[in-house]
Amino acid sequence: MGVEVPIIGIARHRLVTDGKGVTTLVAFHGCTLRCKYCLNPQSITPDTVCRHYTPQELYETVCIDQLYFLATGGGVTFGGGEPCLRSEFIAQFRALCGPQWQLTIETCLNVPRHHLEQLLPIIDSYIVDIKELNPIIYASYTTKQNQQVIDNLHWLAEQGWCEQVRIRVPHIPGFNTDADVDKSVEFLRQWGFSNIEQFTYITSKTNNV
Amino acid sequence: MTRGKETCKILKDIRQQIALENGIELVVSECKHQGECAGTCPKCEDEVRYLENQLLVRKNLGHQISIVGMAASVTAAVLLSSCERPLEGDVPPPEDFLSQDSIMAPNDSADRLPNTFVVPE
Repeated sequence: MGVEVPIIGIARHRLVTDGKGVTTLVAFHGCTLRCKYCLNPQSITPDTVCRHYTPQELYETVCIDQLYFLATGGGVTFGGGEPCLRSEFIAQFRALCGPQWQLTIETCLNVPRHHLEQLLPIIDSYIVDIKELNPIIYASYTTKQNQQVIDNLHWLAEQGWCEQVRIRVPHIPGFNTDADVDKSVEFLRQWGFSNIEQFTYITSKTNNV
Repeated sequence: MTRGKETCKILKDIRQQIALENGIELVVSECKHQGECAGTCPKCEDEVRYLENQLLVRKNLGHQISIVGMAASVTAAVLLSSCERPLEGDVPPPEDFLSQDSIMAPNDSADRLPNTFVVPE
């Protein structure tokens, strides 16, 4: 049977955006952060209507695209919400889908270490949105502290995972400057990460800074 | 071409490569659909199931089948073309898959894009 988790949506046939090949994005409900510009607020609102899946049910659902996964080196990308919080579920899912599907995690890394320890042997790659390394800016934007993020980044680097981690460093309108972003990138390079991309958050008119 | 049509074409190319590689006859007719394309449709899904069945038949007959990684070049081309776009300023935030129309809210109409999205019940 396995652990049951709330999922806000499943998107098929995503090309390149969530890792190589054809991927299916599985978005979990629940997140540790409260980002000002979060564009999936349904992942954190308690009244969101979710469907609950066991690992077996999710496997049977996404298996419809197995041919594409295998042919293109793609697979399933777990996002949300914060997927690392669902490490037990993902571990059970990996046991079902086997080793051939590429499993990717889109995460903020602001999660307790034991989740990463469980995920490390079963996940192929990580896409990490660090938000901002400056703790004051980070807290201002997310309402949380980022020491856990920094510790987890160091831990991933110590495990020799720099190559499998793609780090996104956002320009966050109203919160950080180009100089802040440059400083974050500089730190990340010092820590051993080279797969770094910058981009700018697109904010909606409804977001009030 | 809309993104849905682009996705449809890429998936079709992948199916054709799988068929070609495994000696499966797959007649792909041009899609005449004019409206919004979700990237797949019942006809496309039928082709996938047909391919799966044919591959299974060949496997059961003892033939070697080839699937793993054989269409990686198709999506690699997509990656190359996406790299030509500037990153800064026009890339949605990672948590923004709604802006890419890829996840439907549970209360949206499942009929709008019936085959691309799995809607939570």
